[in-house]
Amino acid sequence: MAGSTAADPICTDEPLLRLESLKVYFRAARGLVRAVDGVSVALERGRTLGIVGESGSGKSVLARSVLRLLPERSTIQTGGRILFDGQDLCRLSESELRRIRGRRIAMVFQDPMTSLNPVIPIGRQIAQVLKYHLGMAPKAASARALDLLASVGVPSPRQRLEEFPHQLSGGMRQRVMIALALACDPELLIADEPTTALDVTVQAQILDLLHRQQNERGMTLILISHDLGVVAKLADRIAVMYAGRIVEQASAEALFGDMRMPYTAALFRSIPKLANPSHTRLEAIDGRPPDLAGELRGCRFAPRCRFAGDRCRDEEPPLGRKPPDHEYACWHPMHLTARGGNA
Amino acid sequence: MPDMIENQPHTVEPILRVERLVKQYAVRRRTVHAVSDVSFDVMPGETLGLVGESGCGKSTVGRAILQLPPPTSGRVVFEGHNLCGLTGQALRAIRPRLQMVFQDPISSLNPRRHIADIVAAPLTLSFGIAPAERDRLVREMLEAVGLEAKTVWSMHPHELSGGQCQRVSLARALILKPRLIVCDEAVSSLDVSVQAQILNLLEDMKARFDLSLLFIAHDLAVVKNISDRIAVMYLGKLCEIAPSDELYAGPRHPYTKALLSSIPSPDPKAKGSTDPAIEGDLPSPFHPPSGCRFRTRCPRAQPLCTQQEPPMRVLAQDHFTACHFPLEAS
Ligand SMILES: Nc1ncnc2c1ncn2[C@@H]1O[C@H](COP(=O)(O)OP(=O)(O)OP(=O)(O)O)[C@@H](O)[C@H]1O
Ligand SMILES: Nc1ncnc2c1ncn2[C@@H]1O[C@H](COP(=O)(O)OP(=O)(O)O)[C@@H](O)[C@H]1O
Ligand code: SF4
Ligand code: SF4
Ligand SMILES: [Mg+2]
Ligand SMILES: [Mg+2]
Repeated sequence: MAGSTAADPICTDEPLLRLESLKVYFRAARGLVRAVDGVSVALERGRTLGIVGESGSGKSVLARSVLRLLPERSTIQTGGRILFDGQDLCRLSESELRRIRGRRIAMVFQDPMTSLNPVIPIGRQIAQVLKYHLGMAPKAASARALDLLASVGVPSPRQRLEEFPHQLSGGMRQRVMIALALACDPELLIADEPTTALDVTVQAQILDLLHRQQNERGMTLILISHDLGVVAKLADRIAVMYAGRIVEQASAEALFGDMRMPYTAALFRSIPKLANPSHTRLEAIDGRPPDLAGELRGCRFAPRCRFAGDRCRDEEPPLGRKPPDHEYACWHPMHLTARGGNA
Repeated sequence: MPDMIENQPHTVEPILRVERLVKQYAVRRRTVHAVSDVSFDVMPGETLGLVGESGCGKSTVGRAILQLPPPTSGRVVFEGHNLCGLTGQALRAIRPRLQMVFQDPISSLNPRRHIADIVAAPLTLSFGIAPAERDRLVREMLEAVGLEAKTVWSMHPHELSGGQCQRVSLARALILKPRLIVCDEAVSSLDVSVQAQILNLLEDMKARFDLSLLFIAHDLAVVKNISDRIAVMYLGKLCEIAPSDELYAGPRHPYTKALLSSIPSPDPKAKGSTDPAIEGDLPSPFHPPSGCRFRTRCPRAQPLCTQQEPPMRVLAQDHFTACHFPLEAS
């Protein structure tokens, strides 16, 4: 479904977004934090990439680094390239980037309250974006703001135009955030945990909205979540992050059908499944992710991995590949060594 | 349905009986109907799950049971005693046996105190206890919840992870050997991996200390995993109570069904359906709809639903539903 619609835009060979060995570090009191440590991923036009991982694995830093929305003073990008439609965003000046941010690439955050202006009515906030990026006249911008609010399913949009963010429910605010992000018809939308703060019922509404908007606009989507269930629903391709790295990535079908990296499998198994009877013992992952400011040797998952051997602790595992495009970083990938079921 | 032998009258008394619980708040001369006439039992050794959308009144029920604050009306009978109307002294005498664990693991612990003192705090409230005995109990509880007592003894909450803080909260709740713990979103802010650790821990503690749980959460898969029975709330009222497996396999209330269809499944085969199961927002708790409170969003609503409140009826053994037009049994 996602991506398989007839209305797919022309698939050029060049992906819309390509990250090459991206490294984003922070200077912090506790040392150098390697939040994103060598991430490579490519995303074709009109497709959806899901990124999952435990909190602190670097998902948000990765997302924000694409738009350079990180604190300038403490952030160091030590390597890699961010190629968007062929140009390296890292080489752009701030003013060049401003023409892309919000216009060609837009972002939706977990907590809409922090990214909406609390003292400006929401209608005016949307109109401002339209004026800034598209140079729309005030009248046209207001009319477009109204259309946008209606299209994201805000009831009685005309009245809502005049309301302030705090007057809206969490789900409504997230809809407004999405309307704002969609205002300039971006080619790429990055949604960082867009439903984490919401109820299941509202979450389902927002995921449906994202999906429909993507199909209508032929937009490319990056959906970030710690919930494999949310990602499974929309993503064509899924990348699993652990301690600043992508440890496995594949098409959604390939990933769920044949998990290679023990961390992916462990993450999946630790989720309570509705299909299981009550009181089914959960397979928890003991311990917690490593401190990204400390020394990281070998496989970063080794201290928690049931299958870790000496080599895992000393040497970084190479990237394994299963055609056509399933990648995993593990010395002892599952399945190949017949370690029992994957799911 | 199981055989008839199961069909004997309940001889065991519930450990907790909530009867016609009502909680209203006055907000700027208007009334919030947070909880309206809610009744249920928790049996000894049982985990009862309480689910529903944000704002439906789950936490209010949990807090009203502990009289924090007391309900507007109704009875909360714990081990045979009605807690409503009890004064400070009498309530404090019950407190050791009835505990609560909250959602936000870090902020629910006093930031300036050592972990050992946090866990020991309930002891000092109830009676004089020798320091050596106190330390022994604290050590036992910390180890029971899977923390190394020696390591965390003098640490402060901010030095621990969310999962570890939740273990500390649990150790603190367990130290007085309670019979019932109300867990309000106790695993909701944790990562799936840590959440699984804490859910397993709760099951272990339940068996080891012979506990009953009222487990409040909005994640339906989590609730199903830990609960024997589940109660579904909507806008201050109960819609349905049934054994967990039965509720999920065959919901009879339209709201329960809608809630269940909203769950995203980590199974790509279920990927096709992104249609949201419930449209629209929760009505205002200032003016709940007449009759059935779900009628404004219910696909089965009829004129009767506007006129009359549906009573709670038993539709199968242990399966209660408040709906004029319940779904067929599956
Ligand atoms: N102290 C209070 N004063 C006024 N209204 C309150 C108060 N506490 C709760 N309410 C209202 O009562 C209703 C139920 O709130 P409650 O916190 O019990 O919901 P909940 O089901 O626990 O939600 P969540 O899933 O978000 O925790 C809500 O409408 C809420 O706004
Ligand atoms: N501004 C910052 N300064 C220092 N460290 C940071 C900063 N932002 C994030 N980090 C660290 O980077 C790592 C990844 O964070 P983040 O991307 O937010 O994780 P998540 O996967 O939960 O989105 C964490 O260890 C976090 O503490
Ligand atoms: S490389 Fe070794 S430690 Fe890392 S995931 Fe694979 S088996 Fe486990
Ligand atoms: S009583 Fe009527 S409105 Fe309420 S849930 Fe049943 S059918 Fe729907
Ligand atoms: Mg994040
Ligand atoms: Mg609550």
